[in-house]
This record gives sequence, C-alpha cells and structure tokens, in this order.
Amino acid sequence: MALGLVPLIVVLSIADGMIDSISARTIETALYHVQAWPLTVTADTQAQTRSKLRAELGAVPGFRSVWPEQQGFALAYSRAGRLGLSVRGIDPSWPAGDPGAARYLKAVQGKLTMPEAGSVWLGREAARKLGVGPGDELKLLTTRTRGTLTFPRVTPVRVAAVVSVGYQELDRLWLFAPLDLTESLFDPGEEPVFWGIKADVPLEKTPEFLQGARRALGPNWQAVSWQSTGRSQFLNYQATRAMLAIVMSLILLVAAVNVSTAMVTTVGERRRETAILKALGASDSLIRRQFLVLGLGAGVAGTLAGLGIGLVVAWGMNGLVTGVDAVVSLITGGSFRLLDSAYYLETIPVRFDPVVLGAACAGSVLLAVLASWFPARRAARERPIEVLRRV
Amino acid sequence: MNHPIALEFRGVSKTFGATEEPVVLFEGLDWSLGTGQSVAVVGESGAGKTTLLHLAATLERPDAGEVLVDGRPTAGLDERELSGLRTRSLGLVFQFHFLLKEFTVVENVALPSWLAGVSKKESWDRARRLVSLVGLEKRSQHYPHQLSGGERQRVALARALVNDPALLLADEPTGNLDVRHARAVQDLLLGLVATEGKTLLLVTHDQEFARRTGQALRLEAGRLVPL
Repeated sequence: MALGLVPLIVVLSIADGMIDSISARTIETALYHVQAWPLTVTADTQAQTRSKLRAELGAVPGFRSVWPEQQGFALAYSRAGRLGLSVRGIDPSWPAGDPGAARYLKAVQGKLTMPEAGSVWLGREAARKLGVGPGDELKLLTTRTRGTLTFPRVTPVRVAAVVSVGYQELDRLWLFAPLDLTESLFDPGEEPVFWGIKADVPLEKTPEFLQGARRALGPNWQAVSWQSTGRSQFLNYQATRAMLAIVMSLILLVAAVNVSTAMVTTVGERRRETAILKALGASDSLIRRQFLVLGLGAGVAGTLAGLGIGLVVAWGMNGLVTGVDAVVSLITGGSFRLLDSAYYLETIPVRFDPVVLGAACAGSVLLAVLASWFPARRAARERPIEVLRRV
Repeated sequence: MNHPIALEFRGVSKTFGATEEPVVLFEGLDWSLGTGQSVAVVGESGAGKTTLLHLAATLERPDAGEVLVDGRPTAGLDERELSGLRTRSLGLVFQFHFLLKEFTVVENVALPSWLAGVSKKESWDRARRLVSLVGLEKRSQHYPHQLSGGERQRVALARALVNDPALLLADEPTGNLDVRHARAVQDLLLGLVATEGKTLLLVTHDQEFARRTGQALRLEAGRLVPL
C-alpha cells in the first residue's frame, strides 16, 4: 500500500498547496476579499467615498483596508511586439499600503512608484513578450464608445516597474496604471470604478465577512466576495484536484489488488497450517479473522510507510525538482527544467491537510482489509480433510 | 462424556470417486464404541480405515446415516458447532504429527486448549504438565524440526490430550516411526489411555499393536469384523 499511497499524498499535498497559494495570490492581488459598487451615483469624490467606506467598514470584524480600482482591456504595442493586456487602474499607494498586496506583488525591475501621470507597472511575462523594461515607452490602444460610434485611442505610457506575483499566468496579463489615467481611457459606464475590500479573516470565513460588509454598506451598495468573482476559477481548481485524487486513488486500488494477490499466495502457502488449526477445532471465523488481521497489519504498515515517504517527498519536492534539473543538465550539458515556470508558481507550495491525509490513510487501510476479505474467506471455507489427505 | 456409548455409527454410508466408477467404502454401517473401551481397526490400504476415523472425528460427513459422539447426533451441527465438538470432546493423533513448525513444543500442545477458549495461563499450565507426562519436559521450548520423529509424535499425543477429551482418535500414530520409536509411542499411548481413562479408536496396519488394545477389528468390504 505504501507505493500506492505515496503519489496520492504527494499529489494531494501539492494540489492543496498550489490551490491555497494561487488563491491567496489571486485574492490579495486581483479579486480582493470583497468587491463593492455603489448602485447610485453620488457627488462625492473618491477620497470622500473612501473615507466614508473606511468609517462604515471599520466596525466589521476582520476589515483591513479598502481600495478603488478600475479594470479595462488594452492592446499594448512596443517595438518588439503587441499584446492584449488587462489594465488595472489603481491607487499608486496600494501595494505599499496593503500588506497582502505588498506580500505578493513585487517589483522585479524598477520601483513600485508611479512618478508620472503616464507611469505604469507591467507584469514580468508581459514585459518579456513586449521586450520592454523600466524607462521604456509603450503605447496602449483602447476604445471608447459614444452613442453608436466607437473611437480608438492611443496613449503613450512609460514602464516604471516590471512586477511579478510569482504566478506566471497573472504576470502575463497585467498592466497597472494610475486610476487617474484609466478613468480617461475607459468609459465609466462600461468599466466603472469599484472598491476592493481586504480582510484579515480565514478564507473560509469570507461569507461571514461579506454579510458584515453588506450590512455596513447599506442598501445602496452591491457587494460580492471572491467566491463569486472567482467562482469558475476556483471550481476549476477543485475539479482538477478531484480528478488528480481519483487518478491517484486508482494507483491505490492497484496496490490493493497486489495486497489481495499476496494474501491469496499466503493463504495457499498456509493451507497446511490452516487445515491443522481447523482439525484441532479452530472455527471458520477465527481463521478468517487471522487472515484479516494479517491484511490489516500489512495495510497499517504499508500506510504508515506510505504516509512517511509521501510526507518526506512532498516536503522536499522543490529540492527534488532542483536536484533532477541539476543532474539532467549536468548529463546533457544543457539547461534542463523539469517544470516549465511559465505554467507554474515559482516554487511548488505544499500544504498538509490532516483531514485529507487522515482520509487517505483510512482509505488505504480499509482497502487493504477489503482486499484481504476474499482470500480470508477462502481460507476459512477450506475443508481440512482435503488438505490433510494430500500430506 | 457421560453417555455409555462414546461413538456410534448409524447406517453410515460413504462413497468416493467419480459417478462413473464410485468406490463404496461404507454402506449402512452400524457400529458403536462403548465409553472407556479401546478398539483398534486394521485393514488393507484403501479399505477405508482413515475415512472411518475422519467420520468419527467429524472431519468428514457421511453421505447417509449419522455419526453420534457421546450420544449426540452430529449431522445437524454447523461448522462452528462441529469445531466446538472437536475441541472439547475429541483428541486427534495423525500418522503425520501435523505440528505447527513456528510453534514450540509447549505452544503446539497448548494450542487446542487456547482454541477452546481456556485462558493462556491455564492452557500453558496444562501443556507443560502433558509435555512432562510424555517425557519431553527438557524439549518444551524446542521447535518441531529440532525433534526426532518419535518425539514429534509424543508431542502430538500430548496435544490430543490437552483438552482432556474422553474419546481419542489415533490414525496410524506409529506408522511413520522405526520399530524402537514405534514401540515407545505405543507404550505411551496405551499407558495414557489406561491411566487417564480414555476411550480409544485406533487405526493401524500393525496387527501386533492392534492386539495390544482391548479389542481388534478388521475392516473388510465396509464391515468391521473381529480380527
């Protein structure tokens, strides 16, 4: 069972770690814990609105901060190429003022400041594809609709920083610009400014925080949590995780078949002893129990070994991958990468969930006992006289 | 065992082999063994001596008729009840000792007692007493492969007696031993039967051994006749 359990534990621990890591990055740098929109337009400036929101949300348990944002789409041009980007209009003080954003949004080149009205931060992969870096100019093609007509607009911007959230999928998409700039690029009716609310609550407690925020904001605001805005993304993660678990469980099933085969062999080898025990008065249930206990012992031992090896392998996965890369690179003389970082996090995160690990171990032991059931029953039904006659 | 008849065959029939060429061993056999008696059965190979013993030991079920142990019919008993009957009332000694190779002498002897639900301490106490009775106290912690053939059979004899069964069933207990060891085991078996007050059904090829029991019978054509 050990060899069957190792991949299951490794895959589940890494899948949980990756989902947690990607979720945390996505929520802290894109989705926010809660996003809110006013249902009616007010004459308040953004500073006034923000001040009011802070006051209202301050009483909600777990409230951390609130930030304005506007999102739109632009086609970016450089001398090297062009790329569709998700433009995020933000308060330039956001990464410095929000510990969550500061934790995940890092400047890999330049500084996280927007010294000019046209200063932007560009995701690392986007910068690589466009062949630009800090100080380089970039042109953004956007459109605005007036009536039935759509007008294109080209806006030159200058890259102040190349940023990364450590997840290449996101680094390929984003361009951060000052909110003042995006408000001139996008139609507020089509791409309205919303307010991103950050909270210091465990992710599973977000619904409670959302309820508190909705009460605090009142009926003139609409608020949704990351569980709604990122629903398809998170469902996709869970579905992928479930599929991986199912595939890995098949390996566990194969291991259970091996246990069953080994038990059949053991039952065959122990026929003489079984016959003697039955001739001396051992009951069918005692014989059956004896082989089930043997299966249970094999299951527990295999599960403990599998759990130990699985935890060690999962925990040392980054070192393992690095080691494989180094060895293969040394042998081939090239630069081998087992995992293409373009599709993964910079490092493989691991999370050990006691409930998941407990369920995997319990399943493994249960499978071993079930796999022993039929050989044990066969041994119990053996007629001693048929065996003793052959001796 | 209080019933005056320790073992009784009532109209027992047993046939072996394929339906085209069946070998009829017994057909309506009626025979009984009184409590406290010792009987030896001799006969040619294939006459059905071992089958007779297996029927008595409830290891084999008759095709027709019934076997009664201590006056109790065994036909209606399920496997669990038969196991209990074998454990409590019957002591079996086979031609091959059938000791468990992973167990020591004392553990082999204690096993049926432990299987009968007796505590481990009591089972081991009984086993040690019997091991001493068969003269193997110095070998009690040895394993079967460390014993001679005669010693193994003496352990098997001690094991058969550990639950203090009233009926002892012995199948060629000396058939696999040389003359000297065979004589020693015979002496021990017959001595124990006499001193412990057991009923004995012995199956053997050895007519001299058979005559040393109280009554010797020959199994011929499915019938038991005086030797």
